[in-house]
Amino acid sequence: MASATNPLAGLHFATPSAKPYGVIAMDGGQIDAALGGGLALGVLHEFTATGIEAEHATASTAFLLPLLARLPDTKPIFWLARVCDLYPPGLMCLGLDPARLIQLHAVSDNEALACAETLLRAGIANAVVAEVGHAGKLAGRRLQLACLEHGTSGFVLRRFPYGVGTRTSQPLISAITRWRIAPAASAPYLGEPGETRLQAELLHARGGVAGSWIVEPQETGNAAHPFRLVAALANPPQNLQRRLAS
Amino acid sequence: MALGIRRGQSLSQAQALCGTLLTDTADPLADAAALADMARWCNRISPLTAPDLPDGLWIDIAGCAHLFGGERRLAERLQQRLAPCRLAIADTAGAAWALARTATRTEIEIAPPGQHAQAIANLPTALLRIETRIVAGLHHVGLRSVEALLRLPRAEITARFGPEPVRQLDRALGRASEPISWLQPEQEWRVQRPFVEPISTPEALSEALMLLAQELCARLEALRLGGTRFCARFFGIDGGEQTLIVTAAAPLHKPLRLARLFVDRLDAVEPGLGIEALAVVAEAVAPLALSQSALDDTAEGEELPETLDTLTNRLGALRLWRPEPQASHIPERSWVARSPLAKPVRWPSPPGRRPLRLLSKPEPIEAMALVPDDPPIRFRWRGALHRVRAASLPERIAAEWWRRSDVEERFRDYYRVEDEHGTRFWVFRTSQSGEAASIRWFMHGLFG
Repeated sequence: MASATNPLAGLHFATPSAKPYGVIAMDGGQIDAALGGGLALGVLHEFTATGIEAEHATASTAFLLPLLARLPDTKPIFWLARVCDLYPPGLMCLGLDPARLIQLHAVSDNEALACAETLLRAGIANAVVAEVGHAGKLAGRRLQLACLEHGTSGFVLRRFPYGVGTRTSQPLISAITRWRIAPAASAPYLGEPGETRLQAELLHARGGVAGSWIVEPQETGNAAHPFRLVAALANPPQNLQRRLAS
Repeated sequence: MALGIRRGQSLSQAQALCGTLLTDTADPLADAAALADMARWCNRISPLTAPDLPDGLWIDIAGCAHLFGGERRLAERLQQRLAPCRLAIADTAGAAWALARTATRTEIEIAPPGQHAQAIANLPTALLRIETRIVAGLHHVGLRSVEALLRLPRAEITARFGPEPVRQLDRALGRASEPISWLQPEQEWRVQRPFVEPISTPEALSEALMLLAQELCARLEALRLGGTRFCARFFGIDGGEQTLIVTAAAPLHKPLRLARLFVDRLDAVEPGLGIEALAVVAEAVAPLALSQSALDDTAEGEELPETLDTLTNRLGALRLWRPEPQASHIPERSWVARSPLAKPVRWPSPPGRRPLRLLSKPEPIEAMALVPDDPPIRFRWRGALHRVRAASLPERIAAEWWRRSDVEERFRDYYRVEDEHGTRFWVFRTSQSGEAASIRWFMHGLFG
């Protein structure tokens, strides 16, 4: 009669573990340390952006691709978007085989969220990426619960149509990590643009600490880790541009 | 006929006129069956044919006549095969019916398009298919032709003779639709169930769908077949019929999955006063692919098609796809969308650095370059000015000369450019004649 001695024994009041399905290493160093071991799999992550980046979410995509490429190739990866402009040969340049991808064209944010939830609950994908503008608190909570059902990783890319409406959105409180990704100036090689560089700002991490880094995404074949750390930034990003300009 | 034998004569009178008259009992059921056979034979002319009891055939030849060299050729051919018969062609079924009754066995009545009203103006009102009693009433007040009926106010005719004359007139003139029950091709994979009491709750409908799905799937599976397109027909007690159509990416023979696909869409069905019968039809069937079950008897790879079917039926076709490579150097033509269940194809490695996002259509930009052959030093895209910090060497992609639409655009010189914020763009320059004056710049994609 366990319940007689401890009335709470049968109830799961404890906060669910932030990493129930393992982690994926980011750079094998600082970023992993900030995340408490690596980016958790089987949970929800959110990627936000500002400026024109919020219209096309390309930097977030570049950040996500090396991670997706390192997921096991057992099930397809679903990508849901209102504007389907992913370019398969370009995905290959960052190491993701386009044949692993199934795309879904949604006509509204709500439809994208509902389809993402269906896919997560079905457990037929290794990852589900949804490009969504506005999403309510409830939708985020539902996505997070759906992720946990089969341990499918969910990624929400905040993206807003060009020139329509506001571009601010409430953060998804239920997401385990929240990032703001922006392009960063590359190191030009003989005057040509160098390797892709991104400024990844970890705004929130459950069980981790926030931080900001400049990273270079690494192709699967070339490196063990998805990212190469170029610089760790201690300063808030508004100082960054001034520093780079000087 | 020559001896004066008419319809409606008594037998003894007819026998008095013709001693060698052969007689037989009328068998309306056999007549109707023969007429239906004839209507089915006419399917070679048009998919829409129907018997018109007791002695007619409807054929909807809209969009079919040109296959036979025009309406007249078609009618002549039909008359040759079905002789003796009387034929008429008109815009409306009602007008054609009336004209056919006035046609002779050698002459075909064809009302030219839009002139069916004139064609039937002088015909007697009986040819509008109005009840004999009402026709007699119309005759009594001197309304003998269609034209006479047309001249009178509609309200007055209705007040005196009821709604039928005006309704039939409207149908003949094409103002009202004519209900004709066209012959349906026999459906092999059809199961149906009438209900003792009409049902309307979603639970009852789901239950009924499940039973029908079980029955249909058992029949399909016995022959190792699966359906790829199913139709559920809900017959309401008010005479209305509603249909739900679901498709499956791979041949489907699992009753639970089939029922689920229908139940997902059940909110689109308005039960109204109640549904009195339900039918489920497999409209397209295909052999089942042999699947290997795992050692523990759980079938593998079942969930993917199932979920994809759910989404496809919710969203509509062409909303889910897997990209597949296509042999073309033109960036926007280098891939095509394929069914998500298609076998994945190996992707060739890209010929150079390619952007992550490709705009569906290149967008013109205002770009400024120091010399015509140089990459731009600054450009304006979607209203924002970008200063170029670094630019790559050009990559020239020639147009596909065998496509007519590409003739004016002979080549594109692509540059990877990075602006002062680090955003990397894929822009190209093109010119019609190769002269500096006709150079235009376009934005085509974004790198991460």
